[in-house]
Amino acid sequence: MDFREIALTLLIALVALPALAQEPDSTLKLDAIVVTGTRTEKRLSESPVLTTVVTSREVEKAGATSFLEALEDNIPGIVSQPNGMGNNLRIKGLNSRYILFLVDGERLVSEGAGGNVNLDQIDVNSIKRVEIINGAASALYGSNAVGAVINIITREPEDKFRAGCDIKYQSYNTLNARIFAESRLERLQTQTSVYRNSSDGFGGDGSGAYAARYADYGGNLKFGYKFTDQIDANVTGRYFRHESFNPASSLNTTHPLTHTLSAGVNGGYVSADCKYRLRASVNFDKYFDLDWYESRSESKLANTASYISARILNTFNPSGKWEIVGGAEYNHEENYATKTLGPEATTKALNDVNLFAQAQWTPLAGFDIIGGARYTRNFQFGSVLTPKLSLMYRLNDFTFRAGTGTAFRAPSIKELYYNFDHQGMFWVYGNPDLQAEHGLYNSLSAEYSGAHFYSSVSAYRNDIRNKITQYEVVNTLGGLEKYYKNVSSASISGVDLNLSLILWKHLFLKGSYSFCDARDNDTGEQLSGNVKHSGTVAATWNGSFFHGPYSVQLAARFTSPRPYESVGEKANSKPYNIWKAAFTKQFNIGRNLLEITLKCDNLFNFHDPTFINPGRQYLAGIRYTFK
Amino acid sequence: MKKSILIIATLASLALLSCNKTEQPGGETSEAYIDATSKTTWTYFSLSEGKVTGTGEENETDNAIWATRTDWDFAVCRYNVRTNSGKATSVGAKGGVYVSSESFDELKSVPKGATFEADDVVTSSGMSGTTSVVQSSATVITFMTNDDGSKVMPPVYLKAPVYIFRSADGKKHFKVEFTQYQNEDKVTGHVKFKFAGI
Repeated sequence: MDFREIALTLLIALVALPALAQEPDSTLKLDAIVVTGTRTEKRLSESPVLTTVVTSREVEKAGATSFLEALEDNIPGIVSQPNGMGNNLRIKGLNSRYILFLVDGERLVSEGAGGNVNLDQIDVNSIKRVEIINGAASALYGSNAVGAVINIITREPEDKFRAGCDIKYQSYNTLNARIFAESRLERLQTQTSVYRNSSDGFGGDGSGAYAARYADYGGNLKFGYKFTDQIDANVTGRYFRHESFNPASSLNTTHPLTHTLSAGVNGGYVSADCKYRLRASVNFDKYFDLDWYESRSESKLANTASYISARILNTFNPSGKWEIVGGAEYNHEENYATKTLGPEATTKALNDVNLFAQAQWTPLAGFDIIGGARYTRNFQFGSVLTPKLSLMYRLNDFTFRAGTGTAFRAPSIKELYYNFDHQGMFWVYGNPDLQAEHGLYNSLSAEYSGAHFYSSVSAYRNDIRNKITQYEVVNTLGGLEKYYKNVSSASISGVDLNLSLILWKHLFLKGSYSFCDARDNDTGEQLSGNVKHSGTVAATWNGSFFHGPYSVQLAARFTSPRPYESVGEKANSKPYNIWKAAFTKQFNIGRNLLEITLKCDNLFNFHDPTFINPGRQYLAGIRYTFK
Repeated sequence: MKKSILIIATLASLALLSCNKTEQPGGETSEAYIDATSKTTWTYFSLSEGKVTGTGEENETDNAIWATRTDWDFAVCRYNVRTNSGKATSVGAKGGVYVSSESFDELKSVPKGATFEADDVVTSSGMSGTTSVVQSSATVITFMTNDDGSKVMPPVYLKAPVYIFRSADGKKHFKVEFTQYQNEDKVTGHVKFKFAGI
């Protein structure tokens, strides 16, 4: 009996186990706290912006080993085609330049081609929850919050002392190993984790889908101190090293090596009457892109991208009917490149200053009016004002929301200053006269949140104008030159449905469906990577036996056929239909906790030319935590 | 010191264009270097002589001149290859290529019934428009591709199969394995290969 048979047998046997002893969570957690919609803590059902939340427990029960997998499990229609240049993520036809990724409210630096953000730098075990809001959110978050904001809220220490290790082993010799230690005392809290992820990759022999062999290391650090009940200060740090290797038969003489470093410091003051909550923060994020010269065993820096953001934020609650959030922000972005910004090593920078405010007024019980705006002064292209207005009405278990919001996307440093001779094959030139892109997002939603049943439906339209597009010119010598200008526009409209249901106390059903029509208004064609119909489903049986709870989950994600172009030919993908099964079991051993995870991903061995996946994969994991 | 030795060794190999002859069962193996960094220049090589014969631009005039010559067996421009055969010759040269499935060391002789492919006009659509070039189907490297046929990005250069090139006079055969496309400084077009008569 090999590993696969053992895993499947265990899964089948455990599905048949009766639910015994302890009661699993038997209500939907709609009192969960979210922050992304307002930059203040709100109950999920009371947030003026419809927010999708993915909790760490959901991530664990799905056996997800990466942040990207957690997103794919929960966001319908997400498309990722990872390669050596990044995750190449698209949501509703919009790439990473139109999606703002935050960690605890601080943006991740956009580092590569297409605005790619390396999502692998997020240690999935450090996630407490992920909050996702759709549409324009520049009033609170500034540039790039055009299509969606995805805010990763990281774990805080919960116990006086806790430490442990976590090892997961998957097909293709994929190993995720992590150790952590954390402490929460009366005034001091600390948290440290170190991890290593590695894999042999697949397809290195030139057959089928290809992913490079890699070896990653990383670590997270948090240190917080409460001077008094009103004053606190925190230091955070994150480091990630990624090295991917060439296949054995390769003639490449270098391979990529990247480092991502993030550091932040923040402090807060709460007035004695809790009417003022002041927070100041400075965050620094830098990405280093190097080539590793294999014959010389040395590395050489090729590019860096860095971002520094300083912010003062105040939340003012003059009465129970008003909440006003206001702040000021300064951002500095810098790129260094040895080739892409000119023939010599070149550094280019962008700066902006911002003032923003958002007020929530509750004139009647259950009825809220939320208005806000951000003024951005960008030293490259001038000023942008991004207002928003939304209404929320709550009636018993129902919540209705209507909103209109604006967004902008500042042209990236590369779009402005590209000066790249690609080995005489083609040339790319930036345009320093580019203006910001603008988005207008209108939405209506209705939500029902009961103890055992939740559903929401939202309809939206997102118009993006002044869109930056690359165009090509054949020069007098027959060479191809590429330039950028603000010429196109796009309209994205659709409907999202979400449903959660608890049956017989133990069976948790969750599903989502998204219809999205994302058009380029010039060509009338769908935006590249858009999926018109998509959905996710998960059925989880929660029970308990032998010293702790267990869960068995069957989950799937679906998409309608997706048009793609390759080697000059247009084609449609198969409809995606990807299933996975996961089993988790916890054993309470005194004060300590042992958890095991078994997973079979891509259960029915789905293959398609557009799907960079090796087929069915198996995972076994173990985590031990002691207090 | 180590670097100096390396530089001297590289310069020596460039000057001599072939070196390191080693005795192998079935023939003497030689190694050679071709500067194929220009995207418009063909470098013509004689396997019989073991040296570069000359260079010519990718244009009608130069192509016509080299088509009349029989003192070269194959040529390289970037990762493209031309053999002295088919549309690449105007004097009936008898070059051509056979793609072997064996390794360089395993390949001892021309397989029975092997047919040699002659050069033809290859029309390709690239980012700079449509181009038509007389060339062989042999290439210095192959590219790692995704399932949908698109090239993996950034490019991953894979070893091409071992080729058997027939000499321009049709009388000799050489096994050829390309061993380098990028130099140690990551610059593409620095082609190295080993070859031996079979």
